[in-house]
Amino acid sequence: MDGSESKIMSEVAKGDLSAFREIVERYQNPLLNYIHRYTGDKATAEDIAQEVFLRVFKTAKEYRPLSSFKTWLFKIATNFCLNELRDNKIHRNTIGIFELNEAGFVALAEKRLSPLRELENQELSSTLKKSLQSLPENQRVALLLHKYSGFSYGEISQMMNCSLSAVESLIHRARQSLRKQLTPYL
Amino acid sequence: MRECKEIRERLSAFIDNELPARERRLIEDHLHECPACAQEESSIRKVIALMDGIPNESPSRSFTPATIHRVSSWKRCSYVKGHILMPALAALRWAFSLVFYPSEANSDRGRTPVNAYLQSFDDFPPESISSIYISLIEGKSV
Repeated sequence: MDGSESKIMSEVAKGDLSAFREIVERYQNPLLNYIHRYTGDKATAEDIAQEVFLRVFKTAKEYRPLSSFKTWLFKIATNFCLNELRDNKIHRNTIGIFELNEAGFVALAEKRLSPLRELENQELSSTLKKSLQSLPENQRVALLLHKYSGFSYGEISQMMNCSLSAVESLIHRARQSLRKQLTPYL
Repeated sequence: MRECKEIRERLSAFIDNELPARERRLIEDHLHECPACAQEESSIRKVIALMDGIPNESPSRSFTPATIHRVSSWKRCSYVKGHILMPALAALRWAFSLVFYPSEANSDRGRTPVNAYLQSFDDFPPESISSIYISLIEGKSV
């Protein structure tokens, strides 16, 4: 646990906006990237990240420095992604596996032979984003938390309220699914 | 084959260093002996490497000020609600009960008469339309 963060959070709990700004500045990049990769849309991700930070401010008094602040913050974000986002039916740029295969892969396979490497990288990045979007929500969350946010399986199991073996299975199935979709690149 | 299936199920945890040392060694040994599983492991590693292709995004310039503004607006609103609106509403309710239910207002200061009547769903003020309706459907005389 980071002592400085629990100190900052105790100031936030008193309503100190400058302490809150410090939290926002420290965590906006990893949080936004996590939500952006989940939703696939930057504007939506910024809206949700704002909601998450607002919730941090509202619930600052409930924060107990038993686990790291980052874990607590990402748990709020994960709950938001898994529950509220689904309930509120916020628009997300999702694309089905079938759609991706039909629309993208022939062209992408051809692009792979192109000398325009930059274009290829852009296409790959776009395909990856779409492939991530096509994953079931639980798999996507577990994979993103591990791959891009650096959480261990144990931390992810805490955040998602599930067992270690469930996290392992979610991550493995997500990768298997991505492997099928990204075959032209492997 | 059964061993291969079990090993493959655990390849992600193996790659992520999430397995105990003993189990890890078992998988390492198997991968040295089984080209098919080694191929599977290699393709998962390639997927992981490909995922680095998604670049990090920076928040827009307005993100921090907009977030702080939103939170400070909420803070102001909650202050107004907690320190002005709620006490004003409580005072209004008390004044209302004083005018319309003076005896209850004096005898039961902790609860407003309206709240007291409506504490449970079927507890309506006597002679109210709801109370008459409930009495009628229960076959009681009004």
